Amino acid sequence: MGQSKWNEEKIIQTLREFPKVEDSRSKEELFDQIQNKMGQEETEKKSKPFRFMPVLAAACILAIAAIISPTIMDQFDLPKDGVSQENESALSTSTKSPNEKDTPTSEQVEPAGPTEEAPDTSEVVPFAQVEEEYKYHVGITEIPEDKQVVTAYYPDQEAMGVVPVSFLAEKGLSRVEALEEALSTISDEELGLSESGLSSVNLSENPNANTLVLDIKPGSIQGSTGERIFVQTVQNTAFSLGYETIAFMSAGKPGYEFSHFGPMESMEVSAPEKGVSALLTNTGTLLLVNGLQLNGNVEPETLEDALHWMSKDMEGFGYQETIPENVFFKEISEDGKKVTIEFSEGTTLEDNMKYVAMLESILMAAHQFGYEQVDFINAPIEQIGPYHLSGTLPVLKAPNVIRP
Amino acid sequence: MVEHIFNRLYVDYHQSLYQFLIYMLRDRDTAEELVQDVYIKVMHSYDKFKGDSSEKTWLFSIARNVAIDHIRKSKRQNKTFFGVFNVDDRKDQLVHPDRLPDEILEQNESVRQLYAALEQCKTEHRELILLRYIHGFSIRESASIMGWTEGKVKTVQHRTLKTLKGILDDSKKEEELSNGTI
Repeated sequence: MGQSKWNEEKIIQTLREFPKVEDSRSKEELFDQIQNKMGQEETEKKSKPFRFMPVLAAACILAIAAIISPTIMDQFDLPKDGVSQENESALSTSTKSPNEKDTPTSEQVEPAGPTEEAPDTSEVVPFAQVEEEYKYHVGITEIPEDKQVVTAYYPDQEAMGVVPVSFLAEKGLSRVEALEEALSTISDEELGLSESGLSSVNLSENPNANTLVLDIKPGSIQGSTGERIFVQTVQNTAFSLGYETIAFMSAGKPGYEFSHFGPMESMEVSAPEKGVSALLTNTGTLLLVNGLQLNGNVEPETLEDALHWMSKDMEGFGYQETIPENVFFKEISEDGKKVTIEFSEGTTLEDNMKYVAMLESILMAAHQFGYEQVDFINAPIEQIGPYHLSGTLPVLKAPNVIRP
Repeated sequence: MVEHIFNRLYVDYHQSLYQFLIYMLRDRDTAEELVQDVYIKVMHSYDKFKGDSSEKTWLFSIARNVAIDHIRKSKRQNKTFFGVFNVDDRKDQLVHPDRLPDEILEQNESVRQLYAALEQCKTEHRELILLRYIHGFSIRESASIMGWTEGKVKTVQHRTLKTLKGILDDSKKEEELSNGTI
């Protein structure tokens, strides 16, 4: 066998020898093509039917009905023949404890009493929206009184990170029962995600120690990436359920032998990364994800910092920034648990799915930093999806809500 | 678009941008189409360019995003029409072998082999190699375009060169096996 002729220097040298490949079009020809394309895009934009409205109108009607008579909503059984028809009442006035900061537990849901300045939740109705090739499952800002929210985490298909998917379970269930129901209901395949590592472990809890207990089949978690993703999945899911500790067991005995992390009996639960990114999966589903996929260990310390990074390009394996380049923030100020976000002149917003996701990413980030309400000032439009920008909005309690 | 801005950008950067896109996407028609999208995006955001990075770096970061968007869209379309998408299949879905640039086909064997090997690298890794060694961006400029830290650029660059060597060595072995020389 001959010795390889390739080494690093040879590769770099050969790359430098790559030929120039030139565009044969003249400057004038290209300029004309660009002008034509821009003209076409403008025409298409003007003539495009406003797909958002039917879904939004349905949501508004349901919202109004719910305000008039909440009991109607309890009896409302909507058609489930497609995501665009998905709906469920989320108009309950229940909310989380005011002293909750970064622990969105399902157990802390309690009815909110009348406040001087109640958030405008009248049209915050969850539904899934389909727009062209994207599908987006709207989150919730208020948890119905008879429900608890479970946010389970699933690995993306490239094993770059884990993605929250939320589900509203009956309030009477234990947290583990609710999680099991969520795991059996959510279809990772439809969402374009990988199977959750939690699907193949026995789950139980020790409520006195506020511990989620996992009994893992020996050798079932393979490789360092598999272990990293598994631990992230468990950590973030346990956090969303309000657990403080995770206990590992194997075949009924305490502890699990991770091949790379070593033996482990328990682990403290920590909060997911702050900041929000979006993931567009290969089934065309757009999902909000905790953390900034910037590859630079960016850990925002304030909401302002987070919003700054959330508008930076974060391309790669389907991850992208949530705040479009035409959105600018002039000032972000806080007053207790309320944060006020002022848009700069020149910001353009649209009433479509992309901007619903943007808005929810801001509300989600606000929740991560312990705020409860958000005011928007100087928004160039009144409403994005179900959210009225002229009123106070509650923060996002759960992203990517799936309904069976 | 203000024509004089376009004229200047065209003179200064157009062929370089086009070359970047064609080496990324490996299809002349697609590159011709997407370079128009780059200019349209530039037009929409030119007045917001703050000069934090050089104009060339800024343009390439836009071109990179346009290319990634296209690849992602192709990925979704392939998922829709052809079933489950496999990352390893990406090259088969995006490359049009009969449309390889003539300029590459006319090159020596080493260039052709390396061009083929690059296709087997992850999209982002290929991008970095193109930026560093074909367009001559520095580590810092590449980091700015990719949105990475300089440390990550160095690591990925090293790893990708190693991967390329592995691919090229493997293909050499396969060739020798098929020729019966080993």
